[in-house]
Amino acid sequence: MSIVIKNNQHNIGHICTTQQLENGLAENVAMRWISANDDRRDYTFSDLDNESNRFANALQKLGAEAGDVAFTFLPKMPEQFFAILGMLKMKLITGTLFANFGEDALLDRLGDSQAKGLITKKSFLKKINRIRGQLPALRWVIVVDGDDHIAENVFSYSRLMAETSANFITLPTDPDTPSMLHYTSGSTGKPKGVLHRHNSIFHQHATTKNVLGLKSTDVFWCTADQGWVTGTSYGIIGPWCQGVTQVHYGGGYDAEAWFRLLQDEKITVWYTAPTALRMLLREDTALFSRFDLSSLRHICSVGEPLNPEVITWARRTLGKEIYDTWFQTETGGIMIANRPGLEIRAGSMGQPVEGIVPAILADDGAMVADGEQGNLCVKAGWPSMFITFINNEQAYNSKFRDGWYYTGDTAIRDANGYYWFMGRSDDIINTGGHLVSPFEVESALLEIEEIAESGVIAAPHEILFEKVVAFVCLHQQYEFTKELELKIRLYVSNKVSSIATPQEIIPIAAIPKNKSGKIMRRVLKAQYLGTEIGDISTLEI
Amino acid sequence: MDTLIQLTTLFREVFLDESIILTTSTTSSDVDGWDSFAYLNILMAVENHFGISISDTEAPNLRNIGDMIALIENKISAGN
Repeated sequence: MSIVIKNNQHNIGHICTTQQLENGLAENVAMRWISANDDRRDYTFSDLDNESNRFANALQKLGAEAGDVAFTFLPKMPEQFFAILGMLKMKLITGTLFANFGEDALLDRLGDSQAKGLITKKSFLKKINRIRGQLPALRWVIVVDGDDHIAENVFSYSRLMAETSANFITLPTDPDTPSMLHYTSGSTGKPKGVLHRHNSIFHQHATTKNVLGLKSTDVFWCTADQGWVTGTSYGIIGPWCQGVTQVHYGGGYDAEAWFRLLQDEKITVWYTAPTALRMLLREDTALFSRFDLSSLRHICSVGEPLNPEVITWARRTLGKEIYDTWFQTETGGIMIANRPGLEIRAGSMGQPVEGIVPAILADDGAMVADGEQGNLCVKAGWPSMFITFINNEQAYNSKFRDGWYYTGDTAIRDANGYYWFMGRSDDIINTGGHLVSPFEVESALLEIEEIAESGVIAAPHEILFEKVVAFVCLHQQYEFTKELELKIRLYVSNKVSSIATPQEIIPIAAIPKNKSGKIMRRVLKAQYLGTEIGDISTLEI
Repeated sequence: MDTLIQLTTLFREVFLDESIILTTSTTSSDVDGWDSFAYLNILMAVENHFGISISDTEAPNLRNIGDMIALIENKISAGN
């Protein structure tokens, strides 16, 4: 039996907390919380266990049952970690929502999953209240700020926690029990709910150890938000299931604050995103020489391809290696990676991690030769493989063929076994490490009175890797002005999310469509990039 | 009208949040949803409203609302 699983108990919440106490780590710091205002507080594994136990008991009191879906909708804050671990202990299907989601994005996710519960903060209730009438399944809401319950079925976190016990026995949990739920964007249709199971902890444990290179004495900082899979797989599960101290920081990007944190907290392994690293590369080099990074062993990155220039910069300026890693929401854990002990091929995804069998396949399923581009696929059956798209078994099945999971990415494998990301086989936009659905943005744009048609594409961006570019065709009576441009940006930002905001909005006479009415995004992209449009025999306009 | 009051109105429009109250010491961590993407919306709203232009080199140096007010008022008085 794996060292992470004891007594056949696969429960992630239990393993990350109670089991660490059994391992003698009760008084070890599990989380050093640093707020944006630099307030600090340490939580031991014993604290983590007690708080998540209290939350599990509070959920029981509210009538929550195993298999119910509940979400956190919070910025990074300690209560979010306690809630997630408590929900997992209760065997709830535990979803996380990015704090900057707009009401359309929230409605899609809470509605599709038939969520029964939500943990949020008072100021976010405005968004929830605007859509609550369309969420008949939503039974309870807990707000983390405020000492008293707010309304019927809107409860105070602190009051619930004060009234419940810190003792909770997590029931034995089967490896196939559903665990985390993250929604991911598709190029067509609504976002899909990617469901994982408690068994994922095997792979998250192994990759935290073997790829991120974490040891029990490390101090680890993962900058990812818990609204995304990296924030849960490697900002909660991977490090805590092996008793590692994590620093969690509530502030946003600030080069000086980040480097002070790396120095003062003696971070040994730092997991961040290429977008952040590219922003650091633009900072004055003198800034970095002011900080002592002698504790930092290495940096890992994830989210979008890491350009070789950044790796060279880190070696020259920081004296550190950056190991780029690749995985997806669907894979639940790192699949292909550069890592300590493996020669870095700058710009590559690295090599498959232990137990993972990738392949480059042609559209007909045939294996392509090394050096040729094809579909990046992974042999199905790894421990952290998603178990379904909630309410969309057909879409789930369409991702698998002949025992291979088709990732939607295209890549090349070289003769030395390194994989090289080439692009997406669909229209999904990867901006700042977040996937944005062009369909979601186009749908929001069509809700704006002045817009008759819209088409949204990805375009290269120096910092973000890709940016959202929107083409809009206005109704005849309207003109494209700076005021309208701002209105469009704000509408998408507040309805979908800030990351989906078009960075460029281009008025156009008509949106190219094929004969069945499908937006021909590749024509828009070719027009934007000034490249060959290719076959336009099916073009309607 | 006082620049702080005008900025408060703009922020409420940008974030669809009537409860926002700005002070000169307000920073991004004090306003829900103020990330780097939303910051670009704020800058565009400020440029449109005050009829000024904020450059890529000026934008990252604004640490709080007080800095933003100083930049806006300097630009208005300089006529750019």
